[in-house]
Amino acid sequence: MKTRRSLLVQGMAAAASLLLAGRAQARTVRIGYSISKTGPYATGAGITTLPNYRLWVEEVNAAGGLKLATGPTRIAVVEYDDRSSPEETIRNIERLITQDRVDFVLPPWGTAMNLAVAPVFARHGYPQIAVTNLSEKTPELVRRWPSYFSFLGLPSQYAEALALLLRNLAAAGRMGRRVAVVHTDDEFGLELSGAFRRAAQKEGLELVYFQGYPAGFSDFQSLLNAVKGRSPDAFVAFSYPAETLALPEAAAVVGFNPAVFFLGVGTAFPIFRQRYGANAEGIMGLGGVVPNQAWRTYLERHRAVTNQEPDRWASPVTYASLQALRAAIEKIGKVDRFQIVRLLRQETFDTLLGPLQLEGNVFRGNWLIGQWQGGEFVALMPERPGAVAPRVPKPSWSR
Amino acid sequence: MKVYLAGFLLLFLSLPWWGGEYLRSLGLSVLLYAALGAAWATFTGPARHLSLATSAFFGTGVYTVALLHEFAPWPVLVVLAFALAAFLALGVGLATLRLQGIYFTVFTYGLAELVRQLVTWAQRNLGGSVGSYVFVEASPLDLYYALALLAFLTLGLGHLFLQSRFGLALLALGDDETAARHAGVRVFGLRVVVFAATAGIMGAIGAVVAPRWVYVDPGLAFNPNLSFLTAITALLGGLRHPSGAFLAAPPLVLVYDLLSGPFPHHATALLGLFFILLVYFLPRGLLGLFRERPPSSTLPQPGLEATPPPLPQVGPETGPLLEARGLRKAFGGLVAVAGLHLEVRPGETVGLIGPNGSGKTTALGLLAGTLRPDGGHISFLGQETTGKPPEFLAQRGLARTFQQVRLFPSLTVYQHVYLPLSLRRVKGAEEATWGLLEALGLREKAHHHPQALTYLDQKRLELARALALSPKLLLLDEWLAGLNPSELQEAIALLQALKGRGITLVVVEHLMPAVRALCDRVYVLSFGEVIAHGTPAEVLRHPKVVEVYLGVEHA
Amino acid sequence: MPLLDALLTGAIAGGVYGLLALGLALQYGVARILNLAYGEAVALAGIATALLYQGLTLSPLVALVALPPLFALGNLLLHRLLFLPLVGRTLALDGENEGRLILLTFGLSFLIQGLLAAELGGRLFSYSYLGQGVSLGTTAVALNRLLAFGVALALVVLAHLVLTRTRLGMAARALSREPEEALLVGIPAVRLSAWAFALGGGVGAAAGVLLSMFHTLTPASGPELTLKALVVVILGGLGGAPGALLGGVALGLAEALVTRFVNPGLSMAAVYGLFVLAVLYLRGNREVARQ
Repeated sequence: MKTRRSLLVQGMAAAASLLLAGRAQARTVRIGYSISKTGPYATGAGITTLPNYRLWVEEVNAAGGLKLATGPTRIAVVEYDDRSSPEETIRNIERLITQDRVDFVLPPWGTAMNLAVAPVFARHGYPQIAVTNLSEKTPELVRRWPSYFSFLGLPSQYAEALALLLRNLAAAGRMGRRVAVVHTDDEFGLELSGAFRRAAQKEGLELVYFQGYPAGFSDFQSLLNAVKGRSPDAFVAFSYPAETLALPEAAAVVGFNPAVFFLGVGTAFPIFRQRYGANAEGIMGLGGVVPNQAWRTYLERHRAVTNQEPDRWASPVTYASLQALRAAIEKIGKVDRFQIVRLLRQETFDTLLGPLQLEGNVFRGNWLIGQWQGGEFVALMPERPGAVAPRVPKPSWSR
Repeated sequence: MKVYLAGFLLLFLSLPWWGGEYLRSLGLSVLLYAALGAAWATFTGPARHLSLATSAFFGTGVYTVALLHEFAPWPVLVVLAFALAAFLALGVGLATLRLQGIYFTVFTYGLAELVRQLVTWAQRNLGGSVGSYVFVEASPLDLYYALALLAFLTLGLGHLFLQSRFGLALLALGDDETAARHAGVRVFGLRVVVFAATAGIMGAIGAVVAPRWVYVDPGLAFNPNLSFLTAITALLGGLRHPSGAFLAAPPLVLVYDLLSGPFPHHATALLGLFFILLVYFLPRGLLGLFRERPPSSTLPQPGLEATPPPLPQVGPETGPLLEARGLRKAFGGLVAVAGLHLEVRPGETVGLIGPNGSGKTTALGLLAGTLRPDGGHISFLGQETTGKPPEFLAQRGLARTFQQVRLFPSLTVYQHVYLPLSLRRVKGAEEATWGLLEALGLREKAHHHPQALTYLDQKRLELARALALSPKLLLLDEWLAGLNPSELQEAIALLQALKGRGITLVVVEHLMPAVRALCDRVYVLSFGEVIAHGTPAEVLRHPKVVEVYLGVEHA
Repeated sequence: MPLLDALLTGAIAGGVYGLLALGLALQYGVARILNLAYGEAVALAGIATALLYQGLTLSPLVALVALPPLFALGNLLLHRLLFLPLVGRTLALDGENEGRLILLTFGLSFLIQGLLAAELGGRLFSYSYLGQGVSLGTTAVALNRLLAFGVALALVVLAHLVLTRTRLGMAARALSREPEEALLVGIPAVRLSAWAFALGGGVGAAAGVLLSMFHTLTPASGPELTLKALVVVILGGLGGAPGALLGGVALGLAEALVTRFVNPGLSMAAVYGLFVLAVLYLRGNREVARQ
């Protein structure tokens, strides 16, 4: 009995020392991240975030490393899986900062996860250059945590851009003013649809259907039949990938083909085009890209390094956020997180998306609305150089 | 075990003083699973109802804080979370705790999902949002100590509960519901109350942890994985005692963190593999590695005078003690008892005899309340008791034994006898227990479990448990069967002694010498009907009886 | 005709739920193993179908024929190597073994999920196959859903015939209803439960293949599928093969009607409301059975 117990104690002591030991500091910049490799968040993280972390580290190291004042320094990575649990994320980030003593921590995927770890980042003064934390509350949160960033912008930007686009189309006589809205019943769907409702009313659009649906919902045919009964000119779904991928097929089956067919997260995913091929043509969604040289280079590198294509919304933004981080680190020339945070807040950076400057820690210069045209998800809104004209009405479903 | 727990307490209370942020975080995770596991084990351990609703109760607590933290201080919300989760569990328990094991498990698995849907819908329609920001002015240290307090409180309360008569009762129920009810244990109330109390603790734990997450939405708060991890912690520790979870939580939390360093891509798969191995190689949990020691408080004190068991007071009764009129019971198409009339007067010993399959045991079951009659009436102590549950009758002094001995494997000999006494709040229950054990020659074996007893001792123990109800009427179902001749003499003497003390007996018996020696009157059953009744001598001469018995024996 | 429309789409969607539940009902009803890794097997079959279709342009119909036997074999091996040594020859009749089995299958689901995630990363699996509408009188349904409904119906009828018309099936039903008595009267319980478990795995694989034609799958889809199958099994009241189908159709109808005529936001609440009613009904039945 005694020996067994002491064995147990010994084992635990050994385990603890293993955890405590940390690793010897080499001449590298240590970058850590905790990300959902398993669980419900793994999809988003695996499509948008993780590939760009890998790509960026690969690119920086291929260029000899980060150019610090002491010379080029390669990046060493420490990564953990948070199993889509906020408790695990908090622990992992604390572990990265206090045990592994990494120099920078890249943020996890998702609004909830980023919020859960924000106090830890803030307490230690680590910049949290988050991308996938779309929330109307971000400006308030930044006042609480000055090192909290958001690169994807605010939900109201997207909703207002969409309402404006629809108003312009209606004004040009290319469609009527009847709009049907469905949205997923979570904070993401509610913030976007709420902002869209306000914007649509301001722009004089008529909301003929407005309903939420819960997570795990799958009876899209009944939903679209109900929507079709209101004969809208535009169908807007603030949806998640599973629904985004199912809705066009169900619409084709029930013969529902409005002038504008807008879907949420997942429209910009490569798998969407892969699945729908020619039928993707004319479908609108969040995000969008300008297929210029910078984009094509990025696309190729992304494909070569991660063996998959980037999505056309948050992927380039994630990469741009890392470019900004790199520029800030290299400009300061050393691991001085306080100075780097200060720089990130003020400086303009040259990135994949063009010149990037944050306002109150939020990047508001993203492409907001895109559309599949000729096999590429091109940007429609905001109206500025690079944006293309929308293809409306969308072509009818083939087959 | 005590050394371990003391070490645990010291380590975890002092951890924030010497450990860094990450170690404190690790400690927090350990405390979280230890507390949840201990609460879970306090109910599931004795009750054997495997609950997968932990996340529903935990989530209720999380949501209480998320929605109300602007209106009430955090400590108040922790208490409120306890109340809300307990209330939810009360409803769930009332609806489902009558379900057999697996149905209960399945339902609780769906419960978290159900609650999540309802919360989502309600929050969206009443509040216009789905997620909530939680900004509570509580430092990480406050959180840590609040959780530690809760964890140790759970352990302490769980321990006290298991030691109490209610804990024993729940254990007995988990072992053998029928036997427990006949020992006077009320089934339902106790289970529901304990389920609700442990659920309340889970809610309070959720309320303590909520401020850590900053942002809460229903998917996070009601994550079903938590239910499984809690169950795993408790089962890895062992269900014998809530302290098992305290043994299991540190290695479980450490294992994942150890795995996730070197194997960031495969940590989850390895964790799954680890769970599988655990189920295989530690089926009884870590507590199985520690020897079970009897609680010192119930060891017999030397020189304690054995006081005789409290005797029933059979007053001058006017009518019969027990009366059955027209009792009927059928199983499917088979009529086991058809219109039984029977009367037992105070102080007498009545025999129920008949060939195999004549319905004796069924008749006894009907009289004792084990079975519900299809028709007819029973009155006990002059009061109509048809269809009353066994525990009702047991509390009023009607005790029974079973044809095949039914004891509680989880209880010691002492506890078998102490349980019915303590449930009736008999004064000096401990002395009375020792007295009964002494009287039945079980005193030396007081701390054995029934599996370790000889067959005769098991029979004695069952009788002792019945006597602990201070029965006015005792129903014995072939209590003498299977004994060798010398044991038989001893046993008959014992029954005669009971008779001498004025306990009224109804015996179902095959052994005619015993029937002659014990019974004042005998009813003979055949195919569910009384074919004769009278004194043993009369009845055994009755031509019908002779025919039935000879017919059977010579067939 | 909106009502007819909703009834038809609901019933047809319910067919897949029925198929999904049938596999679990076999594993849980006959083999008495509450297999929490069931959804992972379904997801695995669906993901494999998607990979075969996209990688090797192998038709999902080929997968529908090829994968179920493979999965049945895999489940047979699992039963032999993993479950049987744990429960022994008396099967999982007591609560303690039931608990252990639940944990074992939970570990298994973690293992499969973890391996899938490690191998495939966070990808979505979704492709277009037989997605065109078929006109059914006044309404239209997707061909792949119709196919799923047809396969579900065929398998349910087949399972029902086997369970009620053959000696082996009768024995399986006896094992499902009165396990202790079945063991006593010499039903080859171990062999039977192994076959039922394997068969359940095969049916689950078929459900996965069909599901992948219209439902997006990820390595993390498993738990959600298990839960849905479980809800249907309980809705069907463990009433054998027809119960599974009826439970599935009831669920499909509830979803469709509430979505169409009440509020899509309440569709899932309706599903779980049905679930609660089913449990309460079950409780009533149990109470009667106990006496």
